[in-house]
Amino acid sequence: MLLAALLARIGGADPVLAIRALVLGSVGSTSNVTATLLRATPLLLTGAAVMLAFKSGVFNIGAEGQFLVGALAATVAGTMTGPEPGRWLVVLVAGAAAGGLWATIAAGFRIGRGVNEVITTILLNFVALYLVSYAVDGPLQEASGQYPQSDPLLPGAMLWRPIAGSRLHVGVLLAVVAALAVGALLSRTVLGLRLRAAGTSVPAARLAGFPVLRDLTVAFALSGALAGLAGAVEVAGVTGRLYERISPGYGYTAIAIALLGGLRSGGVIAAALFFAALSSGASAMERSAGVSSVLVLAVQGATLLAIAMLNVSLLRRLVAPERQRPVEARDGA
Amino acid sequence: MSEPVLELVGVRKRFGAVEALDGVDFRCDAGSIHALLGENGAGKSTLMQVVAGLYVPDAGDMRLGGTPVAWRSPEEARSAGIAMVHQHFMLVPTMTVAENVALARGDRGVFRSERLAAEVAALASERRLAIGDPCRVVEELSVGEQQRVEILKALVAPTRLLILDEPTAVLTPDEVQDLFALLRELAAAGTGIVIVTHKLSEALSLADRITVLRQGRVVGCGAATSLDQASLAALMVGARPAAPLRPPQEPSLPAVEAVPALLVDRVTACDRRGSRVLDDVTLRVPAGTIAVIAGVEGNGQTELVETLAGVAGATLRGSEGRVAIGGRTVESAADAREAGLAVVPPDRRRDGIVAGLALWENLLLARDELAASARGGLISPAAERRVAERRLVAFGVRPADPALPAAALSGGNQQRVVLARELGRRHLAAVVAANPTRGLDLAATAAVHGRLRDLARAGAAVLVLSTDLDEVEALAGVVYVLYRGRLIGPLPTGASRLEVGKRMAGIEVAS
Repeated sequence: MLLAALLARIGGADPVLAIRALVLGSVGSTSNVTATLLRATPLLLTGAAVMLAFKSGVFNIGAEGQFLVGALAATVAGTMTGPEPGRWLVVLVAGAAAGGLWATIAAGFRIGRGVNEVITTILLNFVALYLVSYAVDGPLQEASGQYPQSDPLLPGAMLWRPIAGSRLHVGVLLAVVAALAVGALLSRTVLGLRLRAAGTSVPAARLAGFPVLRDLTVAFALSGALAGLAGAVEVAGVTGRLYERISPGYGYTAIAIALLGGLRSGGVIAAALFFAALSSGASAMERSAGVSSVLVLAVQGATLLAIAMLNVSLLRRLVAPERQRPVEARDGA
Repeated sequence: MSEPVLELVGVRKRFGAVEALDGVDFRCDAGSIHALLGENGAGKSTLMQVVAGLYVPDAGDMRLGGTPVAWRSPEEARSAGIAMVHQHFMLVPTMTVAENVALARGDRGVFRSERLAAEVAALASERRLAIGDPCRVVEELSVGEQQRVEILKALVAPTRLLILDEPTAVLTPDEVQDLFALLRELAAAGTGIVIVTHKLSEALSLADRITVLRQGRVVGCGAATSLDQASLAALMVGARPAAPLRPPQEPSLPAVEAVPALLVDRVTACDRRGSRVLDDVTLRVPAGTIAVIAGVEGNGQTELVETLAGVAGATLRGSEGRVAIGGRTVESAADAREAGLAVVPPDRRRDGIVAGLALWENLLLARDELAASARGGLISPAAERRVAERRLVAFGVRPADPALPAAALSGGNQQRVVLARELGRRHLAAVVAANPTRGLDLAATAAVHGRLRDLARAGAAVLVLSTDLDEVEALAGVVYVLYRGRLIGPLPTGASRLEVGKRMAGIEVAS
């Protein structure tokens, strides 16, 4: 907050006004709350995807690409002829399936050739990006050929909006449910235990007789599916069509959100809402106080740094728990 | 009486709810060897870690050569001349032996690999430490070899006080004698030496003075000549020893009629770099019997355990031969578990527990255990925690809190968790345990041996791999020796410790 004020002052605006605009802009009115929730949804789904992957020892940096192919598949499914009832379900399933398959490519490289998935998933992000570019400028381009975007989704493909006049869609609820489900999967199921065991110590999991390779593949696929679902939800819930810049880096922000949330469902939900709030408050801040909204990216980064510094031990425990020693407090008592 | 190199007065250290050190006084003179004895969790390692600068004490004074000191980091302690060889090695696994030694030496700037390797090799042979090729990567070394590298690291810089934490666990009897000779030389040259151990006989034969710690307090201190095993044991355990730990009472199983056995049939295997680690090993352990394989770490034990456990496919190359449990061929870890095998691995931190998981989750780290507890793929944490607590208490795990992460426990207690999981099961066809009592105190060791005997009586084929001749003797099973991947034996009953020890060192013994 202090940093935001400081940056606002530098930007030549009244910091108090800027902060107030930021806060009001994120939660100050119904439409602002809606905007925040809508922005939080893709962040939450991709955040949950990353959380699942990281807990299983899979460094999925490819949520962005998985999101994009999910959006792509969703658009294809949503613009194809077919029965209208339940089209939204086909759209969502297509998105999840595409994301899952995309991630499995990286899994194959890791298991078959020992290629670190950090490399493969990042590279696949670029492939996905160009695939989407190609699609909206070519085969999927809208009929009028005016802009590089797809046709709008057919009726029945869009997600239900329960409140008349509001842009809120069921995808928001779906995201929350998904995040909680990931948490439950990890802590209350046999698969979850095996994933977490393999995530920290493959030798121990192997000795226990767990099917480590199979479990890792499942982790990749589930994580990718969640990210792909995020893409589908964004298309079917908000945008209604596919275009190039449909993701402002959700898949990458998801990593920050997952880590900030301590790789726990509740934390990821809170982190996603926080980032979303900052985002939607930013545009208000721009309008009311004349501060550039790009500032909010700086604020997000600064917040992450501040929290990370306060939580070095937390991060260390998350990333390398097997190397933990009793932590020493060398300052003070 | 010579000058004290190290003096500690009233040292206290607390970790959360546990008072690890409760006002400890200690003194080690220059040129003398001081043994610090105590059971698991008595505080011996903690005390020495305070001396070496790894922990800051909550209270108390420390003097080095008469000057008061207070370390803020292990580097400070090291530059003042205090070197420690740890129980759990502090080596960088992805770097070579030479590089690790260079790190310890504080080398800076660019170094030439060949020259460094030559220097390290020379240093090692000067100190009579067999570390092999200094260009090998540490994670490929056996536990015994790694320990020798640790000792070498400790000796690279001038040392006023050398601390060794349980150094002999992984050495052959001959190597133990070599180590002792080395330590006596160092002491004669003026270095103060502290050896932390739970082995009474070694403390008595090596040390000039012995201090006994129990539950964070000094309960006895005196010249080694004035003490004996009986008095030391009494001090370590306390005037009224707590009732020996008993594993849970198992209902007696009906006598097994068929003869499910543990079979290793002409197994040969190579490690990833192509060197042969197991050489035509054949072993038959009939049901209801105990077999013990004696041998120093690094002679194929780990690989043999991996082969028996079914995980060799991932870690070894070129495996030939067959392993069968109860007649079923084992080709994967899942096979092994399903055939009724319990495995206590040699490297518990890597293979035995998952540090980040809770204790109750660690108790489920076996495919068959997990399958038995889960219903429809779901686990109930609350129910599992209750069951886990009982088992933890039965095997003497302290603290017996099932929700704690395994990383919070000491090494000995982690070992108990592994034992609780593996030996606490029913319907075992075979047990393979490598150094099962490593890190455990006398009472717990006796309890584990008792449990292994019970399992054998119930019909399991029990195979223990051990580096400890006391244990080999105590188990009174059929004795084999593993040396450089070759299995020697069975040795005739009544083979003496000396004969076994010689074979462990590869010396041919006329039969």
